[in-house]
Amino acid sequence: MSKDLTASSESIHIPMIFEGGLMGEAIRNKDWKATVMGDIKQWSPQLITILNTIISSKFPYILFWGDENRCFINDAYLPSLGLEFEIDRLLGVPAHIFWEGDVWDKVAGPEIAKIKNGSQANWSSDELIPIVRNGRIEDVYWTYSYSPVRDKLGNIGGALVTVMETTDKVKNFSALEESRNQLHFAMEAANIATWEWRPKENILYGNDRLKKWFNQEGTQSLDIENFLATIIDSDKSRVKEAMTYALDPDTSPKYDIIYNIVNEPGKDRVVRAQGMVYFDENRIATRFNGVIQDITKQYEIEVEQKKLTSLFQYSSELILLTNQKGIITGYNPAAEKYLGDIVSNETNILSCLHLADKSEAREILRELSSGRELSMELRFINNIDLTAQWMLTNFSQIIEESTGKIIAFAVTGSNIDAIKEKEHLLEKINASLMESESRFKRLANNTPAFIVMTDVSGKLTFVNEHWLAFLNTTKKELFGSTLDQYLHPQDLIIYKKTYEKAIKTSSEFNLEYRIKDKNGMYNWISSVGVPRYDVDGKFDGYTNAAMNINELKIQERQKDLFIGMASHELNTPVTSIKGYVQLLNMKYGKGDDLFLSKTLHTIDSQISLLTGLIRDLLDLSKMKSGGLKLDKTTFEFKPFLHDVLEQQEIINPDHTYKLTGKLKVNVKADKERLRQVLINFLSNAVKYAPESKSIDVAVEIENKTLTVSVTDYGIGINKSNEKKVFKRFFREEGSDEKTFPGFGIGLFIAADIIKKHRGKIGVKSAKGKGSTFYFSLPSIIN
Amino acid sequence: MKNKVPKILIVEDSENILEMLELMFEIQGWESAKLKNLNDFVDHVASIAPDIILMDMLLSGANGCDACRTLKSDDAYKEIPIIMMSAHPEARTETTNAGADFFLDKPFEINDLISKIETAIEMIP
Repeated sequence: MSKDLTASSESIHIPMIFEGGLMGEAIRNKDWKATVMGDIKQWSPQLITILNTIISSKFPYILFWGDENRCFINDAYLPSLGLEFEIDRLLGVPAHIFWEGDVWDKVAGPEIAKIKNGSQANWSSDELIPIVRNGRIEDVYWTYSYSPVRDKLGNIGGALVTVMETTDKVKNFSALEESRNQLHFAMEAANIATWEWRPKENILYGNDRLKKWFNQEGTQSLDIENFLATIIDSDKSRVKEAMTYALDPDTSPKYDIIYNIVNEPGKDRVVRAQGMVYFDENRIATRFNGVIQDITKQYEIEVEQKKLTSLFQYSSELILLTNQKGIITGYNPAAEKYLGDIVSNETNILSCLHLADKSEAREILRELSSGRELSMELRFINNIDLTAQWMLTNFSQIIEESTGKIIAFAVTGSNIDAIKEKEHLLEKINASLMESESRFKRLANNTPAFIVMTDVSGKLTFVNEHWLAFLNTTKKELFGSTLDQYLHPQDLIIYKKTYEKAIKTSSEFNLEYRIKDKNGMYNWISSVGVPRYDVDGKFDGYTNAAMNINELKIQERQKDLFIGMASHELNTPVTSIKGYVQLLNMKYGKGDDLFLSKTLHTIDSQISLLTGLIRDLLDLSKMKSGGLKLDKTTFEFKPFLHDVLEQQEIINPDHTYKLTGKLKVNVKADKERLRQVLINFLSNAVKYAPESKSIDVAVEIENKTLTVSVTDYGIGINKSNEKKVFKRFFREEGSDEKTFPGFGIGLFIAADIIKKHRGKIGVKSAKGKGSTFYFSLPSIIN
Repeated sequence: MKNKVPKILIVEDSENILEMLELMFEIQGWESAKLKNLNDFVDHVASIAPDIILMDMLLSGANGCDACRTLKSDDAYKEIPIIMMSAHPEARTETTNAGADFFLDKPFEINDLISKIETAIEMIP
């Protein structure tokens, strides 16, 4: 019975806590009498009611009851406590014992205390409360609601806490936030503007960046027309066309275009717009949205890259890219041209080189890794025709800027065949120059002439042995110096002047001077200086060849002396004879004694002939010894010619001279030599025209040239002889040869005189009719 | 001076030429004096007081041009016409430079000499 009673007593009390799952069962089974809570039958009905409410709820609840905040939970709360949780550890246990530490002291405890002191129900969401769960500390987020529970007297007897674990929600939310941030960051980094256009309503939305780019900052809704106005003129129609195309449901709804916009003058921005059009069921475009990306930088880089690529493609220089081991990773068409088909992205650069250059190139590749740019001349081999090609080859590193790492080697080569060929030629030329120079020096040292070489400033660079022996000096003493110290003081000035003048114009020069030999005697030297030029045609100094003409000078002086003496000695008796004959002629010539007058006349004319011969002979000997020397002066031609003609009239009173032409002119010439020429012409005219008594003298001035011609009407000259008359010992033969005596050297001397005046001499003649002898002089002064 | 007989001083070292010239002037009716060298030349000129001087250029060691130049630079004698003679035609310029009034090539034509002296006579003041 007792069992029954017990059983019945239990059955009586059991209904106080109904059902309630695991928690209901735990409350029912706990021996409450042994606890401070006391027998469950004595519990406040409010507590029983609320317990029954929470244990049947599917929301998680904790109830803190009494002064010690004894804990009650429901099944819905259990998962928050982890797996294999022992309910007895919590049930009816004071909160500060179960949740020892910060969780109670800092979070829940103060909240519960506030409620118990009469505060309004409050709420706390997504609060991080790490708890020990499943054997470890976990970050758990909670959302709480605290509300007071009153006892039968209306006092606050406990606090009911609805607890929801929101860890998953918080985590999802922060993941969402993070991805939103990432998107924002990406858009910022990619310089992207967003836009959306509703064609039906004609409304355009855009982010701040879009507004900034399209000059519409500060406006709420954008204007599509303003938007289009920002696009540069040359791109406008293209953009409109692409938009129209995208908005057409029958074509592609895709929109992807690159164009330029200008939002401040001079600052072009290259953008790429991409978008999609959405249509409704009636195939009417409702939304057109997308992004615009600033690709100015990329675009510029692309353009630069294109330029570089074409440089690479079209360069006539060989360009190779290799890795640090020398394996080719890129090459241009020129490289293929030079190297043939060996070139590929597997070849080592060394295998493209001449055998003799490989080790050097290997060395370079090694050095290049340690950060140097190197260039050298290498031979590349074409593997098709096996020809070697000299190239000035430049090796350099290509470095990735941000990391400073070597990413490749660049090898460029330019064809230097032509240069090499020139070098080779130059070497040959130099060798042959040296050979010819040593030959020249051998020759120069073994010749009896004096030979020196000077540099551009006139300093001696070479003096031959003959000179050194003559001056009794050494090369050491003379090189870098001049011959000045050996020169006769009277000749030094003209020597220096001649040299200076010649150097200025790099012209050839002739000079005679006296130089002191080893015995202190002055010797006459005749020297010729010839300018020398180097390989580039630049004046390099003089080569000077000289002869000792001392003997010649002495002989010349003796000859001059002899001629002077001969003139005097021969002419003195002739003058006396001629004078006496003429005196005789004056006294007896016109008398009745025909024999006497004829004899005197003959003697007189023979003496005239003799004087002429003497003069011609002396002139001839002067011409042979260095030529007639001119003594030029400027004089009036008119009185001079009158004087000559008057004298001739006195000498040949039977002939008359008819003078025509302009005479008033000054002439620069050797007056006496010119007189000699005129006398020669005039006396020839008398000689060769004994029958005709008239002689014409004509003077012409044209182009600063004076021409004097003497015309006779005598026997004339054969055409074939016209040139010969000026040769030595020519004489025209008349009908009676004995009539025209003479050696015929007069015209030869006249021709020499005129030639020395740089003039012309000639004759025009007709046999039997007469001759015109003429000469012209270029140097007249008006 | 046309009516007076001119006195011509001949300076010539060749005896033959000197005699020939004296004879010629005698035939012409002219008075002549002679010098064989240039020793004390100016003194001789002063004492002879010639109207005209006919002088060879080369006089055994002395140069006639120097004598010519001396006279021409002396106010007392510069008016005397001087005819210089030479066997060297090139000497003409030198004699002109020395102030000679005439030049006569040796050997000369008597006609030529006579005409020169006649011209010189015209010049005598």
